[in-house]
Amino acid sequence: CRALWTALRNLSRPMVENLVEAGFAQQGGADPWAALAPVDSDAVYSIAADDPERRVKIRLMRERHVLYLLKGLQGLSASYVCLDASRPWLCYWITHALDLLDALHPARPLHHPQSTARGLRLRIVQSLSFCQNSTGGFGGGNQQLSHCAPNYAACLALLAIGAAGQTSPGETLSDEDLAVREAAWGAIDRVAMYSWFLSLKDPASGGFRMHDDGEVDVRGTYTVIAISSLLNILTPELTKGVAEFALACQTYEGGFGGEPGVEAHGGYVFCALAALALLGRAKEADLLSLERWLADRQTHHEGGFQGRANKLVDGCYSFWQGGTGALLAFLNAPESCPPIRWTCDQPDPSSQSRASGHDAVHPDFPCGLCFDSTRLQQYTLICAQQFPEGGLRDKPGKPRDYYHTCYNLSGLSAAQHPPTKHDPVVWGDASNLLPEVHPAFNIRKTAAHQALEFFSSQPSGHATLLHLFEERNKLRGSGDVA
Amino acid sequence: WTWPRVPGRMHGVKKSSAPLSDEEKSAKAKKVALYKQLAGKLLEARNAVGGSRDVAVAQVGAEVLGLQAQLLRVNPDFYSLWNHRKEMLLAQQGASGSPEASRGAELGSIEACGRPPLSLEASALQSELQFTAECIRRQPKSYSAWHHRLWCVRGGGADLASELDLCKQFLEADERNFHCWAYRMQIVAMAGISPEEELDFTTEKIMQNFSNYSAFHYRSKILDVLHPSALGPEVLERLREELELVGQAVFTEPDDQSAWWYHRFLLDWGTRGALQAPRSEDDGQELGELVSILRGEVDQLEELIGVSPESKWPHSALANCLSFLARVLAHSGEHVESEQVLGNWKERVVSLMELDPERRGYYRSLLEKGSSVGSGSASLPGGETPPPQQVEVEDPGAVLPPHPPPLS
Repeated sequence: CRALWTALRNLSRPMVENLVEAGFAQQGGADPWAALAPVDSDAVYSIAADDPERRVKIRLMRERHVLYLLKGLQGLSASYVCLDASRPWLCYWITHALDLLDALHPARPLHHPQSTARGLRLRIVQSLSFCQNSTGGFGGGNQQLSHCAPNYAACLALLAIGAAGQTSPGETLSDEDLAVREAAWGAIDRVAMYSWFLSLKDPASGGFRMHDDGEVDVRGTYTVIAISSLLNILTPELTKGVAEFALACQTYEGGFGGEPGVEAHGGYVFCALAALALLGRAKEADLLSLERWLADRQTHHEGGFQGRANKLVDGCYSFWQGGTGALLAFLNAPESCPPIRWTCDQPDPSSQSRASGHDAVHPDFPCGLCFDSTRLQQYTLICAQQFPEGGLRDKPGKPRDYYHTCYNLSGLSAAQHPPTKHDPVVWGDASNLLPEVHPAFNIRKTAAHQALEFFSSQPSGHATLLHLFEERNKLRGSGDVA
Repeated sequence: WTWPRVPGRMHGVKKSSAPLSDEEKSAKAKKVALYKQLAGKLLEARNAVGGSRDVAVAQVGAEVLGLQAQLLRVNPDFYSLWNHRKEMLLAQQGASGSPEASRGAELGSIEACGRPPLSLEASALQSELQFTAECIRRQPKSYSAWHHRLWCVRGGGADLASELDLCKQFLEADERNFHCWAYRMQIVAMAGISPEEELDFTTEKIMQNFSNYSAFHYRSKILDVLHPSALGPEVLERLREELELVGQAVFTEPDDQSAWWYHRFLLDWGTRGALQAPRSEDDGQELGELVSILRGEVDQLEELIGVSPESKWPHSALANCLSFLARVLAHSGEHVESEQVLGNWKERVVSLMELDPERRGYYRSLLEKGSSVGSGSASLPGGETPPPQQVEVEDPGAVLPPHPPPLS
């Protein structure tokens, strides 16, 4: 046994213990639904073996995760009452995770035989529609007040669903998929949403309230700016003072806190940087200082990320921190990366020529990222997956849940697709490759680009949007209560 | 951190993974049914009256507030109910005008924002304070519960000293709870507590536990307020004292990050006044003192490295210190010495690439970006953005990158 441990140079002890305890199996045979076999010590030994032929390639348990996710759409246990005011979140976490696992559309390889993908997608659209208020925005559930966080989640879920039929710009959608897209994207009342966003602006700070009379913090900033960018309702009237608020949240540590004065924190750092990137003002922050803080958040033993200094590793930060790292890599060297579209007033990237053909990387710095992509992928695959049931979690010892499933996978995608590289970097089995997420929105990059292309032709501009909303209210009779 | 909370994290209680018995299942199902019924009733009832504040609504106030409380105890993240609660409290006190009307009038105007807080009657205030404290005790990270408490307190009439006490209690339970720290900052502003008093509070917390990262962070904010910018004897004196405090922490436990992050802040804050102002005739002595403080710090760190060679933190702090020293020397016109120090800095960063391999990418970019500035602290008092990067005039005789990086 001692020999075993000393041989495992590439993996830290906690990671290996987890493997052995989890009974992780070798790559299965042809049947994707095959049960996992118990591990043997040779298999564990061979993970770290020098000879690549002898190595076991750790696999993302796609099929198990898909089953877990689909189950969540059907029903949830009583303990989920704490998310009663966050139903769109559950839709988004599950939908996005399914999309990353290529299971959201019937043409995708892992479409589950027991569900009708089209029917499923339409049901999600309908459920989400119940959460939308005529005064603008989605709330956490039927009859609940509109709130920036579930609003963000609902819009992203709907955009992902509508885009699921198409993964490359030239592809033609089937009639069925067109119908789903119309239903999903048509369900979003962007005109009312614009007025609602305006009403949340807090002139004193430059931030946005999370809901009428709610708290102001940088989550509001991000959720409003992200959705406005996607739906083409971003206007100078909306963005006035916003970048200044986000910039004021940067601390001496380099990261960003939730509001000015509070310590830096992973979730907020993503919100702040993504918002600034979308506003085109990221360079006004101290990016070097941010890079320092971010690099330091990757934990030494586990390889995953912590949310703040002196805190424990947690799989969800693979996206909040890792995703920020990907965003930062792009911001530092945009000319070396394949083009990304952020807002409707930029050109469609498929029309742009690709960046220079070679990878602009340094030998010591293989991914152009300020963190170690390999170790992050290892953490996700070895520690965050729940063996054998499927689903992903915070860390070994914690139960799986949909939030962690979503963000572990999102982080894995970010780690696999360093922006400065033209080819993805996959650790473990080649089948672990996930599609690329858009670094600012966290839906598939292709879906984001499709949505931007579609909404860029919709009516926009402050005066127009307000006028359209007024006209509609006149028709309905005023004073519609949410 | 989660946006909404997720099951399994509730109240810090570990979820048992044993399957539920039929009895337990049925009991839970009953609770869920009751919850759904109550939630539905409350939402419908409120939407029927549209948040109006007339007498009829006010009369059922007590009952509704009671039902809301029941539900919010179970799910304090049910933000809609907290808003309805505010409306009900307003109705009870006979405030006029409906929220919908006021919002409708201002829709489209950028000035539309939340309602100002209401001054609650003493008994209502006490009852809300008690209720929110209960909710916060059960769920210390509920945005809505903290926000509601703040709204109540802002209306006036609360005992701010006991609010500070509440913060103290909650910080004892979880010193990293940023909701609590943010709340404390609000109360401190309202109560007009002096920065010196808050400084003492953080000293107390740090002495209790050197690992109190949030207390160090808060302390950094206070220093920003006490000594915003200028170089001067008070700043130098304070810098000495703070470095002494940090020294105690890091010599005790060199691997604990908290004090080291504060150390980075101190070097940036302490040198900011010197580096941002143009050279004048009078500051020669003060600059000299600053140099000697920094050199003293270099010695201390080298001593610590001798004692704990494997920990990356003293190395990292030393590199950081050297880069600031180089900048101050350059600023004072001591270019030859500055160059020497910079050479030392480079060696340190190279050795950090071995000692701290996960962050090699960062150290590499630091060496490459030798010419970038970054003020090191993007957060200044009043939330201003950092000053535009100042270009130092390059001495043609010196072989230096124009802007020695402030960070290691």
